[in-house]
Amino acid sequence: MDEDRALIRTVDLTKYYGRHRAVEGLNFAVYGGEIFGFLGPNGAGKTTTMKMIVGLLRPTRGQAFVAGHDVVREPVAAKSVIGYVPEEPHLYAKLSGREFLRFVGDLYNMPADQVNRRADELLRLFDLDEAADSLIDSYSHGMRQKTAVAAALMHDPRVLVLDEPTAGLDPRSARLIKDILRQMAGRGTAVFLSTHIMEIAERMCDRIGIINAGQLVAIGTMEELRAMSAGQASLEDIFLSLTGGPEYAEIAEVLR
Amino acid sequence: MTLSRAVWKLLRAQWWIWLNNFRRARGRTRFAYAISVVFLLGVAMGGFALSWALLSALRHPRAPAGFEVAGSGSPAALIESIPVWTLSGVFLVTCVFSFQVLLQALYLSGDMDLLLSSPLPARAVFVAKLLQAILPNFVLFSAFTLPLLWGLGAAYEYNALYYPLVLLLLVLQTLAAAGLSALVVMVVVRVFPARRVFEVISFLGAMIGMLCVQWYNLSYSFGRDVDSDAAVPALGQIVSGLNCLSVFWSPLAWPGLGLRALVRGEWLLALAYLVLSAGLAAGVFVLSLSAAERLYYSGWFKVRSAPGRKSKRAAARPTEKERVGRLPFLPPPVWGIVLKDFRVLRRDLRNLSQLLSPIIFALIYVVMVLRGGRSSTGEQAMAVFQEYSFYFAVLIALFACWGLTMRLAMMGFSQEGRNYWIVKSAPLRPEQLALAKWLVAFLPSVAIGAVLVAALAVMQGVALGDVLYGLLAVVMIVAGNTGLNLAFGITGARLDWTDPRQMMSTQGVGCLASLVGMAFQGVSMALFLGLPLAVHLLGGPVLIGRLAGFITGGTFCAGVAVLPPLLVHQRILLIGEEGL
Repeated sequence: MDEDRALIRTVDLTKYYGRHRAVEGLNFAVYGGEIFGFLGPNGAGKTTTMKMIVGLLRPTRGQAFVAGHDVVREPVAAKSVIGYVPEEPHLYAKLSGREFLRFVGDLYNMPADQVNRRADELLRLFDLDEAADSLIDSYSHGMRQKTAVAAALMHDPRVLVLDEPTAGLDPRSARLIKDILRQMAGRGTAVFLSTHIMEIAERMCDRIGIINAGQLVAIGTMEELRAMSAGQASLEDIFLSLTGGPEYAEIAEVLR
Repeated sequence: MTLSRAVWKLLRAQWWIWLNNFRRARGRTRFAYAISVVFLLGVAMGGFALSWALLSALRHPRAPAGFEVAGSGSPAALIESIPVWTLSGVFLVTCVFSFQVLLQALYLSGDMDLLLSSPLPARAVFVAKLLQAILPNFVLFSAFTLPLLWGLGAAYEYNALYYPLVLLLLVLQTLAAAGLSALVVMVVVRVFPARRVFEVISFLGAMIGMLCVQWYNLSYSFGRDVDSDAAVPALGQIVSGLNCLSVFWSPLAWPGLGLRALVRGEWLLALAYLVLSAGLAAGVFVLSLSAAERLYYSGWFKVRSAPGRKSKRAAARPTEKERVGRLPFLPPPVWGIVLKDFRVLRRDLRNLSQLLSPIIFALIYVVMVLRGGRSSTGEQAMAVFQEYSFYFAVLIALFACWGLTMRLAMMGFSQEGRNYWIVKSAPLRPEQLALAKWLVAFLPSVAIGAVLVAALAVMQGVALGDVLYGLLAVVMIVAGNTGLNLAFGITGARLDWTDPRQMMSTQGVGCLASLVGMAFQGVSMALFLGLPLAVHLLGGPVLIGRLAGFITGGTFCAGVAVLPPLLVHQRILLIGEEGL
């Protein structure tokens, strides 16, 4: 694809925590209108990569570009087009859901009347309108997760970065989020999401990147990944063969 | 698995956790632990020696005469009532202090479900939780009560049985109190959410603690008018009151009465009291435990903890219609953060207690200053006070603002905690974030300062010109203080705190900020207030003095308000990444 159309682009993106290598030399691009699934075992570097893309962590080396803006050199321009949902939705417990969404609208410099209208729309969409004026303190994990997704959508971002967006959600809410992501991609948004659920990645994602021990070991469409993995049928098999399948086979043998 | 073995396993696991924390702690934390243990042992040994010596002194032939003067009968009655009120006190104090730790252990620790789903007897889990919760308080209370009671035994040469029985009764009283406290926790959590109860208790604890510390100042201020001779009968009343606790019909008194009978050699009576109190304590403990266990299993307590429920009051609040306007001269993100911080600070009682402390502190000093001005002993001071009353008003206001500014500005970034990702991932420049946090600290501090200056000026009848100059000084000095503390707050921000008292990365930052802040206050007050005062004392015109004060002080304060945050504002981008 044309590199100029890339809404997320990483160049030799590397992060070390002291001597520990978290991510090394990542080079990939996510384009407008596509859903890019980012897979990897626990501790492979998915969250670190996402945090560098949204400007929460400084890369040790390399660059991340969002909508053509270097995240380190032009953070404000880059961040203004990103909507981010972290793995754990830590939100201000002493704000109500409505107040939180309005606060996010202010942070993204939205006009006041648009903030209120958009907040009300999203609260309704995520079935949070009943609890909109209760403090987030009293929300369940799923409600917090939906509030975090709603906050990420407040300013209608061109780039969505979501770390395990369906974790802890009931099937209805998970389906809602999947539909919203598909719609957003249809409108030209670049959706970059990590997940451990292979079914979501296989069905939803246009392209998939697999990271293992901080390095990108595979990237492409499902067909391209199948071709790379000598005809493995499912994404799960491809994933296990690329990230340590034999170990899992041994575990299964022990448990049998 | 037997109950005792399961309890032992659970307590051993806790011991391992503690040991691992200790091993992995920094050197100075371990040193602090060691010092605390040595200090506690010192307190216990010192307490033993002191009570032995003091109680022995009551055996002096002249002691009864002193007691008659105080109107409290003979010292023997007081001596014999010591075990009664000490053990009763342990029960009541344990009941109160166990409440918060049990609330945390049973509902906020997060491991109850894991433990109760394991193949351990459920009772063992509750016993272990209870013991784990009350053990620190038991050790602390014992460090004070055991030396007192054993010192009493040593002073009056009580028989050898007295000493182990004191320890046994102390343990039983503590267990019974903790059991009752667990039940009360269940009932309260049924009505209010556990986390809210914890916040309210922390708030009340902080407020009561602060008021207790300040009580001395207030009582000194008010106590000067009290006739000192009245104190002797008051002491007598206290002693008589304590003696009144030794009544046979009060179960709280039974352990103490048992010990009294034991030392008198009334063996049968002693046996009856001790068996009764041991049986009652054990019974209360077992019954409370079993009731708490049943209530927990039935899910009785969880009714009020269900998420998303709204009280009628909350539902009736017209928040949906609430539209808070924006200030035209502030960028929306800055105004958004200011508004958000005010809401969060107001609603989180843990923060509110820290914010109210300096205000209460200031009010107490205002009362003291006003009363000091009217005292019969300070006519000369009164004259000085009246002549320069506006300076005093400004000093008091600044004193109150300083504490508030330190809390709000220095903790501004740490306050975000684990939610910092929200503002960090937003399209904000670090200067905007710093400006928002600066305003969050400056606005309430300056408002309180201005109100204090105005109120004191009205009470003292200060001229309008003086008031305006005082207000100007307060605004500028608070602005400088805010900038200074904000810079320290940015440098020492810590996001992974759970207790608001641990918001700074190191205690050193807080100490340094206090020292630098004190120096700043001194210099700025010397410029703002000292210069006009010096010109006035030298016979110069007031206006010239104030102009000089405003130009020098104002420039200095404005510089300090802006420069320190500007110097460190790039660090804002790195908050949350240190140590990674």
